[in-house]
Amino acid sequence: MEASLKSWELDNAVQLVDSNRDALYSYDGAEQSKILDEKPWKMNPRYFRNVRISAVALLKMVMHARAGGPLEVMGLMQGKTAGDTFIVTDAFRLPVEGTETRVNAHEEANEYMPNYLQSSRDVGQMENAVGWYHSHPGYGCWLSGVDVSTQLTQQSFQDPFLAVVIDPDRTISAGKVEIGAFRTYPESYKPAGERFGDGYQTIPLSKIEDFGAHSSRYYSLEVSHFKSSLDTQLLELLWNKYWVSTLSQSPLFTNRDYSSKQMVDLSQMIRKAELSVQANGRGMPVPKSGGVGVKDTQLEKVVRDSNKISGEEISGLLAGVVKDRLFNGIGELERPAKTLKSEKS
Amino acid sequence: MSLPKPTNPLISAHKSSDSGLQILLHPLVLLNISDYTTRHTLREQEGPIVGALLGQQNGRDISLEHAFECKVIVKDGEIILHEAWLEERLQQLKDVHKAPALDLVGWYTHTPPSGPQPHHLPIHRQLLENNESAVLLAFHPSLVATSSATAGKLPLTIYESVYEAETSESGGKPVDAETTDTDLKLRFKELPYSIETHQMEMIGMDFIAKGGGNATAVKSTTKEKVGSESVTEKGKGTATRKGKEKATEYELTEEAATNGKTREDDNNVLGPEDEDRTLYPISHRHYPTSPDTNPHTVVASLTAKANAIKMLHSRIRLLNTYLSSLPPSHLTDTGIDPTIRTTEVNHTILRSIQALTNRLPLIIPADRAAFEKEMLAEENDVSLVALLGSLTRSVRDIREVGRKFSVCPRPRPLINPHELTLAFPILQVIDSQRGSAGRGSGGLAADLFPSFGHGGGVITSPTGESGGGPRARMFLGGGGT
Ligand SMILES: [Zn+2]
Repeated sequence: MEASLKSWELDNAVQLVDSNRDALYSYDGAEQSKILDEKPWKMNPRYFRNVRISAVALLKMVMHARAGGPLEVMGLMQGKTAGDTFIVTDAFRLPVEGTETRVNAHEEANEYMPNYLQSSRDVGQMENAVGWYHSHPGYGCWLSGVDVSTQLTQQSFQDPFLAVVIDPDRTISAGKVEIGAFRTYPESYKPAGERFGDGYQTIPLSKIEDFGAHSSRYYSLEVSHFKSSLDTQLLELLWNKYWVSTLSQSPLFTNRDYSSKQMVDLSQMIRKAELSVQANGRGMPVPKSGGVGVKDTQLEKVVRDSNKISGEEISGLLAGVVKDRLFNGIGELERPAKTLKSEKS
Repeated sequence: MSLPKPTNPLISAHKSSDSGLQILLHPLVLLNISDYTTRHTLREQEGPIVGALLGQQNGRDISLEHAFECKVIVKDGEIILHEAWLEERLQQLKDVHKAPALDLVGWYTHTPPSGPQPHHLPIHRQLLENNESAVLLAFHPSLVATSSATAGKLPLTIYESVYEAETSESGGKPVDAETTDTDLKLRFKELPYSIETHQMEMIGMDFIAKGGGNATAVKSTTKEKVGSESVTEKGKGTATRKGKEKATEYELTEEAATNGKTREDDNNVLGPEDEDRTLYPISHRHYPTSPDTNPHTVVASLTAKANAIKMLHSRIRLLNTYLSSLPPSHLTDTGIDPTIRTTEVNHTILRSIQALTNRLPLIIPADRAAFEKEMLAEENDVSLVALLGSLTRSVRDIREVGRKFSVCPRPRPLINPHELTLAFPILQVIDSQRGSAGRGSGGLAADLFPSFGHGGGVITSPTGESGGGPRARMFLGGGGT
């Protein structure tokens, strides 16, 4: 038995792991509890600035968001902190889903969480929960009023805690993962002037009020991801398998609903911008700050959104054009060749 | 489709699987295995690397969609899964994977390339009790390095198990492989598998592959770098504050970050700046957009396409090379003696190549005209959207010019304030550059006004409406001061 255990362990992959490059995968419990005792984030309401998410956690969250479809889904992230950075090593789903108001810690989920974390520890995954994620299908990555209060509660009882939002619809249409990470300010803290995303992303008009009312209560963190050296090797090998779908997809076709929704929104926004341009054009002769700094915020939004939409549409069209050029010509060249062959035989 | 090594007595002597099972492997499973392997190794955890596979079985298709590491115990000298733990964990995951419902379909572990060993059997038997078609995903760590080098297949084999009667050639040697009371032996057969990715999963994979240290493709690396750099800075910060033992750890991160960066830079065809320049020529500096807006998505998607086409090309070239290395046909050239074989001809491959070429005409749309019409309609739609984009950009820029103009000292009084529009200042500038008097801003401005003020309906500049006069004069005149 000892022998079989030994022989099995020989198969373990020591040579696959580079302790330098894969350092983020280690876990030092003592260090983490020391950080927990010191609570350095108490000093500065914007203490945490970065999030690094492991490949497996990211893919799990993305897949979960997709599985929810039009419903919002929610889950927890396991990980640790180092300095001003959250390191998310894994993520798991919670048995809740629903609309914005329902995305909240439910009783079922409250029972689920500790059990799940315990069975993770049983297999050596010692990380604590360091945050929650949920999806905003089609309306962008930001925190709603409900989200802000959820996050506030978590930060007062569970800190260090992080909120991550993923938009599966936009991920599909943009062809890249749309993800945002946020922390709320303590209620007593008033940020000086800056609001989250002062209009840097597209928010549907139906949600804009909710967005505007709370956008000064939290800030966003810089999100990046990491992968192990083994991940890198496997991903390279996987590319050998999945490059085909890069060529075969038709984003314009699959996202038709989403893009018409975007256009409707854009047209409404243009109408609003038109009104504000009318008002400003006549009412705002001198820039108030004495410089050229005053901007048409509505117009800015229109520009940004239409740029984004046209970028996505162009990518989509290019996909079609590439496919057309690549494959539709083939057959015509092929046919004569074939007839030649059949003549010979 | 490598043949099972004949040296492993646990591999069935019958080569092909007759169950007809087809495995659809999702990338998440691989990342799970990789994640657990890395973690297990770095944290110096005890015991073998063993995990369970979740998926769906629909008829003969088994999908492997999710995986999780398992707790093992030693019982009667055999390593088996911890039943109670597994049951709990499985229930936890089933609770959150309801649509589509996932179930336990097999397990994974590390094995040598030759396949499963006797000490792998207890767990497999354990799983067979609940699911008689449980599969084993054997990950071959020793093949990882070589498969990367040759860009070959994934370092894993998926096996189904069968009970086979003892045959004379396998000789009854593997004692451990014996099943309880029949003389049937548990044997493994390799199953064919294919990689299955949903669109979302693919985007996720792509995203992971491109960022953070991998260099396969160009991607908006700005964010990545910012991320890594700030970690680095923080590393230094804490190091000075907290002392040496911290410093070492953070230097490691730093090194990893720089590794990643240099690798990315090497492979950058277009830097982010180039991307901006090509696709976003108009004053983007004044209007910082999110780094994720169109220049990057367009270039990124084109790069992905380019890589895929390169891949397609290399595959076709491979086929071509294979075909041209074959001996010449003795049917077309009678001078060749058919009995002399130069290269081994693999008829299976030839047949698949022929099937492939026969299918080629099918990709051409049956109704070419309708297809082209559809394409054209789509192109028009997209062009319209793009036009809208550049229109809005122009409107914004014109307003910007107007605003700047309003703070410039005005050379002479303005005439004809009733015709002012937002576009007026720029037109006036153009007029004066052309040497025309500017007075009355006659030709150019007047020509353009009607179409600008009332056309399009995108963003109209509404000075044509009543009351535009005096205020517009103020607007243009820098407040009349
Ligand atoms: Zn939300």
